[in-house]
Amino acid sequence: MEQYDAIIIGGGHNGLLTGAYLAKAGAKVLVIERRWETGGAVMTDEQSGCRFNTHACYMMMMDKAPVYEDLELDQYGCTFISPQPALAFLTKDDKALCLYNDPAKTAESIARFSASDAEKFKEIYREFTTLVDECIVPQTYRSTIAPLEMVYLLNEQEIGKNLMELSEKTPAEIINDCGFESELVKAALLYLTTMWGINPNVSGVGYLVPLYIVRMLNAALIRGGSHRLPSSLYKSFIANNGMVEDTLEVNKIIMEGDKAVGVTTTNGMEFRAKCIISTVDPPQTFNRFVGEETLNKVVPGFADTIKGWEWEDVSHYVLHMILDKLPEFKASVFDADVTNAFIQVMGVETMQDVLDKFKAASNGELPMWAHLTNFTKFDLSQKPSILPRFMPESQAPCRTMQTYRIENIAPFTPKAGDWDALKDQYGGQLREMLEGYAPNLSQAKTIRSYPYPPSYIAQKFLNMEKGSIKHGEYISTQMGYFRPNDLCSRYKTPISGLYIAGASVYPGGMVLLANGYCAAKVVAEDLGITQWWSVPASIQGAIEKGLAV
Amino acid sequence: MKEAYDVIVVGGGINGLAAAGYMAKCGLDVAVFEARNEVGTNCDTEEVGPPGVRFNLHASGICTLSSPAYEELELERFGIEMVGGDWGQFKPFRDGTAVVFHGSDMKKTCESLALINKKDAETFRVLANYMEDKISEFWHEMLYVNPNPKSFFRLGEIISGMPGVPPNWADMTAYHLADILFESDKIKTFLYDAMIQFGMLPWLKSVGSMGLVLFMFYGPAPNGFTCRGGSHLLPHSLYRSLLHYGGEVYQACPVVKIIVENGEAKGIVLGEESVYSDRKIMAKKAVISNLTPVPTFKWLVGEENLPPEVNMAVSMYDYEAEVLITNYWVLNEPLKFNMYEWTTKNLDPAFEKEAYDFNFGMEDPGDYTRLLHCLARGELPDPPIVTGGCFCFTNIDPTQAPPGMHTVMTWTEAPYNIRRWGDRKLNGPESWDDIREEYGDRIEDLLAEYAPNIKTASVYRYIHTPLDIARRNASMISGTWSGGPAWVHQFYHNRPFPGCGAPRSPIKNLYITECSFVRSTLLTGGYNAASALAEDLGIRNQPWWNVRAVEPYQRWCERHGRTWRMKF
Repeated sequence: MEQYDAIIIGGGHNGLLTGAYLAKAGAKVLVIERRWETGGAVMTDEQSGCRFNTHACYMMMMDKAPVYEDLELDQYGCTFISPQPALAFLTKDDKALCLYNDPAKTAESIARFSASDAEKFKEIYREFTTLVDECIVPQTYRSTIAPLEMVYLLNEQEIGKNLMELSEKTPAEIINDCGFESELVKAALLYLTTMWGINPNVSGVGYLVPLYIVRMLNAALIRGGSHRLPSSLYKSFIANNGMVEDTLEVNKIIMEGDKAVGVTTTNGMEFRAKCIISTVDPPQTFNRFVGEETLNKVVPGFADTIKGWEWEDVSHYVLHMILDKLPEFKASVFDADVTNAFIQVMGVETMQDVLDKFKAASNGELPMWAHLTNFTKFDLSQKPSILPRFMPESQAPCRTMQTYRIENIAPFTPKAGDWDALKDQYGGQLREMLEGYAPNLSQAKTIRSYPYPPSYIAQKFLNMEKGSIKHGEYISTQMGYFRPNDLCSRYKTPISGLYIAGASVYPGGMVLLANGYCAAKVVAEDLGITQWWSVPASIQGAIEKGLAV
Repeated sequence: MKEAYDVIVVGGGINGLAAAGYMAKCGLDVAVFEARNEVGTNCDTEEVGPPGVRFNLHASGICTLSSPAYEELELERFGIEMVGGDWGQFKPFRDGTAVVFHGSDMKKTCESLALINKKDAETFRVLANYMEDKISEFWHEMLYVNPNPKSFFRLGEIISGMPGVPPNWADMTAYHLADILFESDKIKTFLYDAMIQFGMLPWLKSVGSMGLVLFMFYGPAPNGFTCRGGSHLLPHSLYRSLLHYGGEVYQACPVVKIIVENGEAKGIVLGEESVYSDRKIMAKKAVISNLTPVPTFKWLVGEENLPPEVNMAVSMYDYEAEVLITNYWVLNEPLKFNMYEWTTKNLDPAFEKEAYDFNFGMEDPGDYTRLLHCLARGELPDPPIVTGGCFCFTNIDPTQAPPGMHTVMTWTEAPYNIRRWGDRKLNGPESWDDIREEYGDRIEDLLAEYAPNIKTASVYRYIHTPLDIARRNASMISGTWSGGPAWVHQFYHNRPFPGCGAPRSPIKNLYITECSFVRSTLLTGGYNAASALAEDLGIRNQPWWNVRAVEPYQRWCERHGRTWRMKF
């Protein structure tokens, strides 16, 4: 039997990421993936020649994650753009607020609602950017430390103190405390955190607010479709002699005494390795693959800790569409740049809107708010681009095709019934709402319409139980040093030879490209593999300043 | 990504990947550039419906076991697993009977055919016995040797030697030859469907008669297979094989120009919409185009780089006549054919458990004339004409849908440029978006005549129109599934056009894979393009490059305990 240095369970972006770093270091690595395509939820499907980025689509960390340069992903087919304005918040009275990665431009847009807010925004955005760049991002790409150590570290410096203070507050409090007068501005900034299913009233994860505000304004669209990202990781992995076995599902982790030494698959195959790295969720990794008995033997009560894993309160609903028209927003009379925005947000005008609608969703209701993204406008390769170049429209009508996703957070278990019955109806209501903001779309021909409700997420991905898009709730007891728990958040687990590296481990989900990166370092150290990569200067700087370890 | 490669392949379809795979395994530096997000466009599996249900929207009956590439590119090592039942293709009739072929055992096929017509079954037996020691050679010379007089005359010799086949067979259509050989219309229409499904049109002289004799034996050269997990596992294994041998693949990289200098292909240019906008990449030894003739020559090489005769030939290239609509159903129980009563009683009670590959509806040989008429008039056939092959995927591969769900696909022939439907006027291709569901209903109605539970068991339906095919794959002009029908002037040495010399082309160092007229999953085009280029580079003599057609299937049967039998 072949002996590997490492076996990675799950070929999502984190699995491939860990694999690629280790393989490039010369380790013999096998990735086992249940689906036939690797990349997990960073996927791109196609209908009628147009691409649907079915699940993940806004990449917040492309220009920050060390992997992009380390593994030369640009050489393996992954390039990206950040359309601007990043977001436009549309109002019922046909006005709009546009947010850019250039704070001066954002301030100009805000000034049309409140001159003082515009000034305030510049100040706050500067503060947030400093926090994000000097503290939060560097920490994202380093292992976490115990809360007390973190307090000790951050208390040394002004910026660290700010971050700690922020972290204790709820997102709603943070936005309130900024002191904006315009409800729309407050609503917009709060939405940037809430749109990912983070409860605006949860405390202890406040550091996510500056992160999401700053990074969402820099959100990247992967050219060619989201799947180019994991595809580039895959190619880099294979080019470094990594191996991927797909259409293969892990059944058990083989234990010898207290040590994980291999895996068996549901079809009876067996693979052995010096270490196993699981990128799936804690209940699967521990209770399914290892088994409660072994867990409790190693750490009494560990199985119950894992059973206590909390999935998210809310999930995500997306309606994918191919239409034959671009939207003409009523609000573009007020601000022509609305049309150029990467994302248009609707139904969000006051902070109370955000609070109420989030609450409604977590109560099982289907609120009327959503954001819209059009990919093909920014990236022609995501629709038929060759035919229009060479053929008359009458022979191959595709020039006017546009792909959209309209989406929002949504309950996994709606009160009104199950998603199979509701998915089309709800999609229709969202479409109607959209037509209120862009009336010309009521005349658009629908070439395809594909609802992707929370139930589909759970069925597609075993590690997204309850349609959990971040592999587990973002609450203080499941974040930072406690993600997934204090015994495992630094990628090692109490089971010798078993590591974890998915979105359910620090620093969390949202395609940060960090979990697999940090895990690779820990595994390399334990296996005695020489690390070929070095800490990027920006992160090294933060370490030297004492803002990360 | 390098500035130059030995070989650049334009298009990551299965034959582009196969050609690249051979070149990479020969040790050359190869890169494939694909416009789509995913390789293997026409051999794909997509989740366009409920999660976990795999929709094979295009290529369906996967024939790769007949191809030398199956073993030479080590596809099993790279994850492919072929699955198929013992029984092969079938065709149900309204009277409750059916023509049923066996997958690998001609004795069983003949016993089954004897239930329909004893004399015809005996004719089959005699022909099968004659072909037993020639089948591999026949398929190899036909498909895996580039068109040449020696092979052509050898094929003619084999056909002329067939008991009962008149010496002037080449001057006959399939109808004519079938009338000479067989009595039963059921058996004849079964064969016409099978030929059309493979890309050889029965109404043509010589192409038709050749197709008829070829597809009498496509049981022993298999058709009734899928890849476990779906059709996409074929390109996926080709992709893995290619990457393993050091090849590179770049998706979302549409090529907009083949650089030609002094009549020689030198490289390519990517479109501005590509991941690498406007980049120029050079080819040190050759460019292989996996695209059909119009995109290759007219769009990418450019008329200015071609002699007038070539421009004339390409302008007249015909894409229509092999255009299909995919209806895909998700059912909450297996499709139940009325004919199961007959097969259970007369043939094999286990048949319905593995019923996979079928055609239905065209019961009268005269029906095929209606197809030609509709194609010429741009008229939607009504009732629909189902000859493209239909498949009950989950019967042989339950992994293609979650437990309790079942998938069925039909392939229906139609013109691309639809201008009328009965008395209704249509607006050409754009009308496909409007009539999609309505015409899908008509196909469903027809299927219900043979398997009524399609109406009650269906929980989801997805229709993929010829316009969708064209939009998804710019090379599939007019929604063709085959890259252009094998009219006599687009057949064998005339393919894609007389004088082309495919897989070589009028441009030096430019090779084309679209030189095959049969189902692409045989990997004929990729194999032949690779073969020609390797010969030209003097590297054809590889120790591993010696498998012959059909042999991988015979060995597969041996490994899987199946009887492969033609003589009895």
